[in-house]
Amino acid sequence: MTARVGSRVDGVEESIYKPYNGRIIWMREETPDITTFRVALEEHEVVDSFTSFKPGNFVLASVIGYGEAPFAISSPPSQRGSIEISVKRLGVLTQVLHELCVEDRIGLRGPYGNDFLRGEPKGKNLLFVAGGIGMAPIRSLIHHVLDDRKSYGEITILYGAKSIADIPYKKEFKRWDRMDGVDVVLTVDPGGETPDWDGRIGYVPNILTELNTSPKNCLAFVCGPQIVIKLSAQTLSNWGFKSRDIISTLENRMKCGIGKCGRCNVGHIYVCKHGPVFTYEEIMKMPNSDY
Amino acid sequence: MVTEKKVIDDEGLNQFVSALIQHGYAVIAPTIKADRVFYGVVEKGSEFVREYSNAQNSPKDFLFPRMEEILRFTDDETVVETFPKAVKRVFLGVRPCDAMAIKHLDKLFNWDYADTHYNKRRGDAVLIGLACNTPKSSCFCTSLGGGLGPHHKKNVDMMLTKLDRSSYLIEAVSELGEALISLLECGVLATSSHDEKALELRENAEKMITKRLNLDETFKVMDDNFDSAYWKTVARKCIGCGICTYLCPTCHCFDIQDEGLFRLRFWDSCQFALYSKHASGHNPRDQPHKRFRNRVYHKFVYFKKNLDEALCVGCGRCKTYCPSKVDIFKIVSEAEAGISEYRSVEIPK
Repeated sequence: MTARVGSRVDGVEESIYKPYNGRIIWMREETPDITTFRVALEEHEVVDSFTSFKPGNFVLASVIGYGEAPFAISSPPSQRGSIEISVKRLGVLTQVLHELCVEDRIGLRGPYGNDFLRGEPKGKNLLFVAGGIGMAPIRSLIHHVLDDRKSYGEITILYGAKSIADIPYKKEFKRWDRMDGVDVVLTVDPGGETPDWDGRIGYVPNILTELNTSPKNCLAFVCGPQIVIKLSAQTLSNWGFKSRDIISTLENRMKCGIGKCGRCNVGHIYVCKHGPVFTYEEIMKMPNSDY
Repeated sequence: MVTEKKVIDDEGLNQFVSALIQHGYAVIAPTIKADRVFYGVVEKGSEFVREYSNAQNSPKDFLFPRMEEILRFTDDETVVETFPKAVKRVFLGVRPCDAMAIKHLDKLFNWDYADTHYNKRRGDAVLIGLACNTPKSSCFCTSLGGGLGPHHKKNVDMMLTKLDRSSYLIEAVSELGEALISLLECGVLATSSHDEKALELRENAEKMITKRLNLDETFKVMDDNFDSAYWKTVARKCIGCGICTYLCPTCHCFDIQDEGLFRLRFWDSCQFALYSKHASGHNPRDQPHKRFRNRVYHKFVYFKKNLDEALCVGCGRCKTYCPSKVDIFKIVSEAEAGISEYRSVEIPK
């Protein structure tokens, strides 16, 4: 058991709770309640160690006076020197984050947790299934995969939101859809469509049943509300996907992010430390939904 | 190496406390506050009460305080790290169960990431144990592994054993203890008759602890029966006040919040409804019995799986101070029988 002092430069004693100074260099209002922030780090000596994260890792972002909360990194590691987080407005901190502008400060602590690459996606066909803000960590992985397109097989992306207005990353979905061997399926919940909507209408797990993706040499990444993960994983299992080839992320409430404060546990598993990326095989071994 | 053992009287113990204070140590010992025994900083030896089964709080309060500043911000948005002041602390009169609890906290706060704030406080803190001659009926330390018992001294630096009304056997256990025992100017060297007396007291004390728990079997039964309706039944008495988590020497859950220009860490409790509520509104432990079960499982299953120890030290505080007398020992020791009784019952969602 090697104890790390903080996550920073070796040998310097620093508080593990001290955030790096980040500054917003770009931001985009994705939907009425989701905004993506691109944050650059001001302390040059830590930029490399911080941005050498892997898709699936998370950070704790904070605003002085309002506290901190965990967010999945939504940008790929290839984007050197900065990271992006996509924040859905839900509480006090996320409200304050939404009021920030370019040049404003965000504190960042991390990156923490394990990553999607543990599923060894290289050389495989990939199926991405996401709902709502669950697209954020998946977006990091999709960009990462497309950075090295030739190393991967067929790619299918299924994404669902409440309504058309609630779909983030719209331009990126369009760009991905134009690429060879990439199939993008967008869906909105019934009632969330407009007459000119050319995507699908229906809940993600229902639309998934229509895709009928072959489990052969395929990895599925599923992220979204608990019900989307549960139902999608069942569908995939029925198709013959092995439970270790279905990969998801659990995003429980966290405070410390490093396995101490206690609240994110599912059974003895600390989502922050052992996760947040788990295979469906691992999830099925966890206590049932009421843990 | 033969450890030096001495026998001192009450006055000698007072002198030792004065010597420690003179050498710059903050001495933290059980004292009387509002007619109850609490750990607190003592200014002279006589404030250290010696007749107590255990203090209401535990040394945890000084290593992992109820609230502490972890960062400070300036008006121009600079983040300033703040660390606890380096204080040389001596914890005096620590019962073996509480010493074991500190060992568990050491493990947790250095699990993968070293917690700078805890470690600064823990630093070279000296633990001087006081053997338990008269354990309470609620005690069950001997069942919790690691050799723990009323006279267990592995986790302390020095050990005191009260031999009779006013004499104490004092011995160094660690190197730190060796260095400190030299501050003791009075007392006589212990003889084998003193050792025999200590052994007799130890055997007596161990006999007084009648509660028995098979830790390995409890672990297995609990691990296999998370979904048993037994847990819902036994949690019924719990009112979710969280006092057990506050007084428990090993409970360590915390929250981090900003108050103005300070980032603070303070105790939280898994018994509180909002503790694990997600931003989405989903709450995985939305019912009292789930929160209660989480605490019991953390003590007897989860910590064992992650860090190879039971997180309970058998001090009995959670039962003693529980307003509805929820008895963790009774609950886990009867788990096997209780679970088989409920085997056919589905836990209501």
